[in-house]
Amino acid sequence: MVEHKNTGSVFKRNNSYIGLKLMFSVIFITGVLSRSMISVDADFHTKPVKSSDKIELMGRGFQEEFKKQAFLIYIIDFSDFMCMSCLNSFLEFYHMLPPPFQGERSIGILVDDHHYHQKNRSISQKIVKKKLSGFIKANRIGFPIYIDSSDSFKSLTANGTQVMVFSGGLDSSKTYTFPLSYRDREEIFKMLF
Amino acid sequence: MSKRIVIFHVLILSFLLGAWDLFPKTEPQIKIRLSEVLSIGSLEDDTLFQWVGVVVDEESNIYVSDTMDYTIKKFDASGKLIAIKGRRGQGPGEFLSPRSLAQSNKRVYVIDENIPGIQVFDDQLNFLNRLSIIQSIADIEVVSPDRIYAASLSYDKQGVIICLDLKGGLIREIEFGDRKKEMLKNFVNFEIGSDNCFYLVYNFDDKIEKFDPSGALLWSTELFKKIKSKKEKIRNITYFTNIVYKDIALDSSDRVYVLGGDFSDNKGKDVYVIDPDGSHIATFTLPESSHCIYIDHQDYLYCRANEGVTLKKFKIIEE
Repeated sequence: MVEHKNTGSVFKRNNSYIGLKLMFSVIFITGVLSRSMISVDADFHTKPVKSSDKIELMGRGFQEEFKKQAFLIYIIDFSDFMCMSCLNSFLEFYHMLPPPFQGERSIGILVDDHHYHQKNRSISQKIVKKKLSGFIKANRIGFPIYIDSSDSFKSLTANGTQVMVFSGGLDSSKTYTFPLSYRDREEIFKMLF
Repeated sequence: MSKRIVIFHVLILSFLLGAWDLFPKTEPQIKIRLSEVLSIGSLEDDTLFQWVGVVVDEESNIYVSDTMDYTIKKFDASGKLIAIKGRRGQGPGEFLSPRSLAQSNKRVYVIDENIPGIQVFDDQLNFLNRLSIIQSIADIEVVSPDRIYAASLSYDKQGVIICLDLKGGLIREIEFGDRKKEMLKNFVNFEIGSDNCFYLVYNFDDKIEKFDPSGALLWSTELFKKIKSKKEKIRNITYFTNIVYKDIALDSSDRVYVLGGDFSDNKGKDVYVIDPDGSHIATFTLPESSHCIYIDHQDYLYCRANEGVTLKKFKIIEE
């Protein structure tokens, strides 16, 4: 398997700021996502997210729920999936996970850089949404993927598509870059279960 | 003082002469415009997600490969979807990155960027067989029921178009390009004319070439002088980063249509028309950027819109 350098940091329980850091990261992510108006969900249909839905999903309820259980956040860059080994690794890993992690205990964030090349941003966003819905349908992805139209997560994909793993109770988190090595997978499964 | 003025004027003159060379060598002689006749797929439906390859049969049915949902799709002449096949995988009728298509004699041939070989389907898109070929293929043309031509993806080798029989057996090879081993230098798209001549555009080099059926070079032309694709070194391998020409298509009179890349005024939109003798006779611009162009037997032109969510069909009108 290919070894690679992970870019994320590991937080340990004995770090006195661990709870604070993790809470900040979750609040940051959920806050950014709740501002996003585009969602492509697992029922294979693209639809705009209503404000009330977003608040319920991404707000306090979401944070409370995920504080107790392990969960995954994928930061996805489509251009990175031109690399077949990265796409294969992502799909293999996803389909190896037990059902909760293929659905409600995972979310995805798609980094969208299309609008840099397009004059009309709303058309560009529709194009990205359309492609994403095809990707979700064809690959049977069961978790919602949000489009990061505000570029908040763009810097995170500098090394490729990543998965952020949060263990149950927010004890620890670690970020892994696709393609995952065998050791990466083992580590992730240990954190999740 | 006068010497300085003379030197200054000589320098200005040299600069102007040098700049003159950057313009296309020949002035276009005719004007071409496009009139849209059909549009398939939109941002509001789930017909196409990111189509890549297109081919049209004698009955004007349109076959399209869609890389985002790993399928091939068949539309009738009115644009109605009548068949869809494929899913992600490496088995029969499955794809990882479906790309170019070709058709002949009610057979549809599909190449996949990540699976060696050619998959063959009937005209209802039922899988028939796979032709085993070791090397990856960049482009494919089938001009007769028993002759399949394919340009191999030559990463650092002499460029080769291979001619195969219906079982995938090698009949002959046609060499082209630079023998110098340079990464991607011999990546081409090609077409075969009614006279069985080969027309090639190089993706990373300013070269458009015509070879006779035996493989002898008839002419070579360039539309941009002194332009070279930039290179970038990634993990000790040097890659070209600018595409000079994206695709080539021929109409029924063997006029050559070349889709320009990063060096065109309108990237991915300018189409250069070259007569069968190699003279640049016209330039026109597509409404939207496309990665490819295709011209069917009735001389309709097909290209991308909405970054592959939409397929457009145009009538080519000469003015």
